[in-house]
Amino acid sequence: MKAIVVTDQAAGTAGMSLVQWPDPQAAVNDVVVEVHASGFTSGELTWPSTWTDRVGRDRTPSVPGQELAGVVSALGYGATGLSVGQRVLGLTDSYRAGGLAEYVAIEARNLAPLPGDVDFTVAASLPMPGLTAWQGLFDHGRLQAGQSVLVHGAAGAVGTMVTQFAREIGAYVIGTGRAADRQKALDFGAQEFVDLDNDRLEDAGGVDLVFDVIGGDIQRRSAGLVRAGGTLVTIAGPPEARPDGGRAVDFVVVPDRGQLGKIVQRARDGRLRTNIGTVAALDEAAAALNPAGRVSGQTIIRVRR
Amino acid sequence: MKAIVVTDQAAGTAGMTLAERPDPQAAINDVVVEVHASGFVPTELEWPSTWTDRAGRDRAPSIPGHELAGVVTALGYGTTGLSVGQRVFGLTDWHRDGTLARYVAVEARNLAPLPGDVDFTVAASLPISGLTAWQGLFDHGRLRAGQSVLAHGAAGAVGTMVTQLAREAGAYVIGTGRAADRQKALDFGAMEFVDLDNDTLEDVGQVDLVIDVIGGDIQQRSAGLVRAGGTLVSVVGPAEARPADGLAVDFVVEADRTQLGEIVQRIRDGRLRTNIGTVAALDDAVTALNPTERANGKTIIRVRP
Repeated sequence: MKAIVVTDQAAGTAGMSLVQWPDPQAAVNDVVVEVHASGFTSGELTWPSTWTDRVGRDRTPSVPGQELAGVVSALGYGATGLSVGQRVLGLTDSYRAGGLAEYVAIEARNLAPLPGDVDFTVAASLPMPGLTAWQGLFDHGRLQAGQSVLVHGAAGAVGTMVTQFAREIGAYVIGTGRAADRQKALDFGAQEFVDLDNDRLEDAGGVDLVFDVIGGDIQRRSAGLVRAGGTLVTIAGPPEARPDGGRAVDFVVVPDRGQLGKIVQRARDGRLRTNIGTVAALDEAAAALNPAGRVSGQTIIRVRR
Repeated sequence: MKAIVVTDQAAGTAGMTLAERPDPQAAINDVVVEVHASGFVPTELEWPSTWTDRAGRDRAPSIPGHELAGVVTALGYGTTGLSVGQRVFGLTDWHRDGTLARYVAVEARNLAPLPGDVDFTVAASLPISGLTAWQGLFDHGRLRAGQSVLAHGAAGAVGTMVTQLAREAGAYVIGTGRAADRQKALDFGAMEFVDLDNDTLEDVGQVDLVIDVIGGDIQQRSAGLVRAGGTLVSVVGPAEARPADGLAVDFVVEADRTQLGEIVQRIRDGRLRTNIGTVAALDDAVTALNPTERANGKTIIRVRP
């Protein structure tokens, strides 16, 4: 099969190359998915899981791309709950070969059924930002109606999902980003916007929850805005700052079939809009994932037409 | 740390040795657990997952045993939902080093909190037998009150769980086994017992669900007993026989935090009894796991006294 592989961590995304690669085999409780569309998260090539397996052994060349949508083409020994020919979406194991390939082997429990009326391109954009937003807001942030959320990167892949889920349950959303992100953040539902280059973050006042995707100085200043009993949730690694009288939680997204089902249902009924920018073929993936300028929206690789 | 290792598939359980191994490191979303008690399934050493990783690479020397109860000692990058010092139990990844060791690294999602009033030895006996019974009866067998279940190996580790959970759900349970198993099967709740060596299986009449742990001829004959719309569920690989007008499902048990919680709650309140035979220390594990006669109940290795 064709696949994008990386072998050199120092080369970053410029080290991606399109190669001929062996078809994956389904392990116990795996399925093999014929990939129709897949997404790549820009931080992936800095994660240790891209380069070594769980016991620390070199696993390169590695296939990146951890979110995908496609059709089940084979079942591993003991795999249940999914059928050959079924449309699915999900999040791959970060320690295994990913979705920038014509086929991927993946634990069945990391996938959810994909309804026939949701396009593969749309579906491939949901797992990583959707599950990250869901788990950050509800599992870790314990967000409730009437609370306020400070959403950093509100025009980004994760931020647009965070904003929409938070609004849906009745929270008040203050988005942040660069000046050029203002309209997009408001379009996705943010009720206020803080331009981090030109506005004063502290003017946002007290909030119940901070959803941090940036870390560093912005994270420290945001911790100071959290009300007593509130939470700072971050996906940028162990927090350097902790709210006074509140909690700080850092997490890495976990695949979850039940939550994927809730997310895709929202994409079907219009409660959730995706934030897709470029769509490119697998043959053009290396170029599409090495953009010259700042991208607007997620890049999705359409592996099959 | 001390651990039981295997290096030679042909040697079977006789090839187990007590060795010194490096302490495991927590990968992303893992915890490290200080193992207090561990369970081993005799067929593990025949499974490919004991000998190779998911990419097919040799992973021996391997540590067998995939059930555990113990205490969390470290969290991996991004891990949430469990804390250092917390009592836990669960099912580890078949493709990774297991629990016949002083420490094990395991994905947090494969574990559940263990209440303080449930002993580690009891807890270590639950994951495989309990989850196999739960998933077989309810996820795959879709058992409902008033239905009848043919539970093969009703005096075994899985069979005693199947019988108890099926009875609790309001089903009629017919157990099978050898002559010597009759009283134990009835004690755990079977309403009838078929001695497979001396009775005629076909005399039980029709059933809604067969839980097969044997395969072969018994599986084929059992398929013929399934009523229209019923199911044969097997844990011994792809079914060779299919009910004339029903489903055949084979599966390999999966870790599930919620189901582990359901199972341990039933232990606490007395709805479930365990079926533990020998309990031995890690230093005596090789001998205990190579019994000279048929074991009665599950062998648990008590890693810490």
